[in-house]
Amino acid sequence: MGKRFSPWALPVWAIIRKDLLEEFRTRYAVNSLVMFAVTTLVMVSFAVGPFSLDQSLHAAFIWIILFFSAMTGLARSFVKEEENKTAAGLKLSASPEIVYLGKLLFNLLVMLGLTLILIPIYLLLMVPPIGSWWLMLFILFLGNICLAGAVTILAAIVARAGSKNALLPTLSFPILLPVLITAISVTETALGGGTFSQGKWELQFLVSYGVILIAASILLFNYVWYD
Amino acid sequence: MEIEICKLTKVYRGKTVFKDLCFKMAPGKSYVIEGPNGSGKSTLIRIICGLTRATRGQALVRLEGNILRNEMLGKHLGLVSPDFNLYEHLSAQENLVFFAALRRLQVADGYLQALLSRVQLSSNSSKMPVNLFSSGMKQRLKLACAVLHDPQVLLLDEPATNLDVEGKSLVEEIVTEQRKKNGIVIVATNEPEEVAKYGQEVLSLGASCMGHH
Amino acid sequence: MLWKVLLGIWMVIVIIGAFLYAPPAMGLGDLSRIIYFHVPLAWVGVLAYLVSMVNGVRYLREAKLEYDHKAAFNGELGLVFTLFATLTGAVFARHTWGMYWNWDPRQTSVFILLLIYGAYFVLRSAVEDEERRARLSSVYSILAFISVPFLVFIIPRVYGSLHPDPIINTSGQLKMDSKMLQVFLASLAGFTGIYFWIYSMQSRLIKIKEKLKGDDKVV
Repeated sequence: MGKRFSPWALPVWAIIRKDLLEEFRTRYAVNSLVMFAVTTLVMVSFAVGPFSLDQSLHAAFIWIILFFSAMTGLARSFVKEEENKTAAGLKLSASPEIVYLGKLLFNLLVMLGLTLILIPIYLLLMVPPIGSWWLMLFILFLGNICLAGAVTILAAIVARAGSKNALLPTLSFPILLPVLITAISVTETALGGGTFSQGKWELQFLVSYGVILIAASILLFNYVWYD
Repeated sequence: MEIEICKLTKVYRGKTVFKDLCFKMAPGKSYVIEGPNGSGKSTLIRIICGLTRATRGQALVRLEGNILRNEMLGKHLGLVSPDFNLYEHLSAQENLVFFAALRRLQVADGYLQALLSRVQLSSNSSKMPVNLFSSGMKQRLKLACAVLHDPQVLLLDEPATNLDVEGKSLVEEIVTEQRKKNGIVIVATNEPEEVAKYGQEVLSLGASCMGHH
Repeated sequence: MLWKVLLGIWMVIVIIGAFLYAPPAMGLGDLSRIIYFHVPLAWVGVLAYLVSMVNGVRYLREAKLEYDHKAAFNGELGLVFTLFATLTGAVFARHTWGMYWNWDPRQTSVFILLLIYGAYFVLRSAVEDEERRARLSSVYSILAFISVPFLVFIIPRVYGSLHPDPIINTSGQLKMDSKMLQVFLASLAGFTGIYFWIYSMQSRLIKIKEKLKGDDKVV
């Protein structure tokens, strides 16, 4: 590959591949992420017991679990580069936009992978009624893009701030709250069997918010990345 | 290719590391930055690479009159430094392929093998993850990574760390070759014998700048 | 000096006007007088945040620490004003909707604004290096600013709010009696004046501090 694609494709793919390789060998993010998600899920299921929840609670639980999993799993994406002193190599070898895009896509892959594991278990344990499968899948995909889009640059900020652990949720929450509120509301619609047109406004909002966040991150990453 | 250091000052947490450094570096030559611990050798190298910002003044790397910055600068630089590690969970070969791809280079397998055998890493060990390497082997791999893209400027911060006699002569070989290719070599060290071995010109960072250690 | 005295007199007139001159609104009674303070406070809270963000952008462009200091104190100023807006809003909510806090979209959005301010200062305190702190917090305030229009304008509109909307309503009309409007606008101007007064004072303070620091470096 490389020649037919834009000049960005090769280095961006190299970063994704590198992170995937590291991930397969250390399983750091995967382990903490899946364990965290499953633990939370079991706790919720245990607390709820035999009662059945209504759609709004199901929607809220799904996104709370996804949000906090993102916080635990994605926090290290830049911290590990700073801690292992490998960031210098990235800084010297590739432009900041490429590093950002590579990390963003890797984080998105991690989040989608987690969702793939999490949702079936959730369905098994909590048995939520899913009225509209397509809308449900779409909102999970879109919501994860927004999550990864915001968390990637914030994780870089946290890494540069001296990797204080509690910092990431603190910084992410205000920025992600609009995403969470709308994603929860669409998920509720999807569980209730709503159509795309019913969630039209929210979906438009999520798309535009995600696009603006990612565009702003690409422009600003440079200032976070270099000293 | 030319490096110009102009009235460079670095203040770190209220302490002056060095002040008003002026220096010019021309191609085809090797330079040694020497000085005691804490005199700012590594800081100077990081500033030339654009990894650290100077407090005042500039370190400019020019190529045909154009000032290079950030990733354009990185394209022409090769760095070996204790502040720059390779990926521990990747093998030697994967590390090299990764850095080549980041620089949009597609390297042939033969080239990599030649590079690895040049730094005396056997084809067996080049498939092991780097965290199984001895520190000397890691240092060799760092050298390979620095010359991977055939840069015009080589910055070697304590390049002989952890290296055996053979490794040290490898560093010397790399320095000489870079000079012959009309490139620039900058070595930071405080070993007197290395200063004599690598440096055609010496930039001494004064002890006067030293903090209270 | 003169304009500070004028500002003082102006605010006294606004306060008297708010309680004595403006008529109570239909249905809300004397409670409606809170808008002469609540809305200007909220306005300054958002304005200070905007100025803080703009100073962040200026820092990123010019790398002068002065801008970062301005961004930081505008953040502090905005936090105080937003806090007062939240409190006056809660008082209003208690007497019209029955509870101090009931997660009305307007309350939610002001709450998030407070969280943004909080996160901004947590980030600032986490970074030791001055320049890095300036850069990271500037980037954060720009990122967070993206969410503000969504919070302030869009969410309350879509999720029907009980909050009265005197300035920004969907029909684009002012639903105010002319006497009320006079006091309201005067108060808005007065509070903005107070903001700029504090702003200029702080700016001077920052300049003096930077100067003193610069002298230190020479020695």
